[in-house]
Amino acid sequence: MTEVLARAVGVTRRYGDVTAIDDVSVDIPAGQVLGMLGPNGAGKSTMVNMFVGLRRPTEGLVELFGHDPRDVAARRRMGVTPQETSLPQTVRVGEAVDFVASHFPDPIRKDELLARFALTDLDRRQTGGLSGGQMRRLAVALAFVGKPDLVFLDEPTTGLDVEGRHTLWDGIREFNAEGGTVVLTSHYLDEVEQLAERVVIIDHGRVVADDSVDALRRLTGLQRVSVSVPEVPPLPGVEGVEHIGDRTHLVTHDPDQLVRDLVHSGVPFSGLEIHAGSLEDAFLALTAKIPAA
Amino acid sequence: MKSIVVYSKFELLQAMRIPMVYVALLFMPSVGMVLFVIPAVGDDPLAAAMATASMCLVAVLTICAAQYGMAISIGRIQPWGAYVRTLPGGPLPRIVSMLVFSTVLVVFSCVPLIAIAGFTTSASISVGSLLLGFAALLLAVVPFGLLMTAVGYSVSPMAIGPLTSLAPIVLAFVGGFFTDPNATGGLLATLTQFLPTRGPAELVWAAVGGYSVNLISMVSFVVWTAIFAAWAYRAYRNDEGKRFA
Repeated sequence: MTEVLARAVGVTRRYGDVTAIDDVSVDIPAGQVLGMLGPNGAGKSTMVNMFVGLRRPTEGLVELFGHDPRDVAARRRMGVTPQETSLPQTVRVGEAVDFVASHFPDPIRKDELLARFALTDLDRRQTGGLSGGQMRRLAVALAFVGKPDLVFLDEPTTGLDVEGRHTLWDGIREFNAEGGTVVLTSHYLDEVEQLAERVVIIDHGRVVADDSVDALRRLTGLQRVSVSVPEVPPLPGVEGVEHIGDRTHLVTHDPDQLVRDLVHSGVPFSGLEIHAGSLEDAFLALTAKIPAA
Repeated sequence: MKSIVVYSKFELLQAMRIPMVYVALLFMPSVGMVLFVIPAVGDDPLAAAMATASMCLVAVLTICAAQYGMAISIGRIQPWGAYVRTLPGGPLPRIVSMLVFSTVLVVFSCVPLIAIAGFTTSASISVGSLLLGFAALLLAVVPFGLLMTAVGYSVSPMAIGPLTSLAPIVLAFVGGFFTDPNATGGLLATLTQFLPTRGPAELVWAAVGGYSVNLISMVSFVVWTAIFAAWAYRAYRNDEGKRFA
């Protein structure tokens, strides 16, 4: 039985009239990479904030290593990269790392940390002089300073170029290979597909799906029909519709029937493609962002 | 120990980003000195010394309001402040470094006041009394620092500006800093012993001018300090950063 490092049990969080999190229960077992997906405003950051002790649940229980997330004992084994981290501008990168390291009993060596996140050349640079991508890499690096067992990364690769993202992915993979547990929030579905074993999809404060990446792909059994069409006729069996540029993507369980219906509708179409469903399609269908036609 | 040094360095670096507050607080009491104290009591050595001590107290209140009230409050709404809150470790290194910083500020702001008094009035003071006076001033930082810490963590960061401007004036007034310490008549004189500002003030006056300390004020001092400490701790634990309706 793998140790559960952190958990939320029946957690609800309200801000005045708004219910940000509604009766959510999630376990985070050791050694896992858990991806938390959801549209904007779904409540992902609120969940992370509750796990790290920045917010308290209105109802329910949040435990971190068996303690209240605000307890020192719990925080020593945990690292966080919040969605926005702005460091004081005049502080140097190396000084920021030293500052965070001073909180932990056995921090990682600075040169080792900087090397892992490709920040070695920036040791003496003031944070105000960092580019957005470099700042983000530093923010993620800081989460790993205390040799944590569990890290929470809230949209870690937002604003990074392709190379930056891959550097970070490698860092996360290395951490997980050494036995670390990662909870990752992201908008980038390819990132979650690449890194995560398990995905929790949150929408409007509720858990809509909680399963392995493979299971989600298989379970939904969805396929994607892409076509260029002036307008989408009413078609039964369409689970989700997405328009990208002049292409329309229809997500469905039965693509063959969909094509027959499309032909019968008489609407002129071109460039028909059928793809196997991806995590993105599952996500679209489960969050039902655009109702089926 | 190392973490205290690291925190102190950070305090300094962060303080440099709100310089205007500190510049203002260094000048204000000096202006008050020149405008009010010197003309009124410049010729009476004892009264001048006591009045200088009172102005130093006002400076201490202003420092506490700015450093603990404002800086903490601003820290709450900045993302960096939120991040630091997730780090383990109690508030001790942070508190010690803030007290170190307070000491530096108190000395810096009171030295000009004392210098002005020394050169322009007939007040005089022995070195021993001077040091005792400083010690008493630093003691005054404790309850006010705690109070403003509690306020900084409790009040919405949007409201903190006016509060930190008003609080020192109000607290100074009810402590009787603007009047003769020895005046015993009137409602204010009676009430003031029970209010938080009087106790430390009396200690400073005692060090400087042989004022005899009032027992009730001392008891109030201890009680209020305990109340503020409890409030500050609770406010710190319950803090959740900025909240919008």
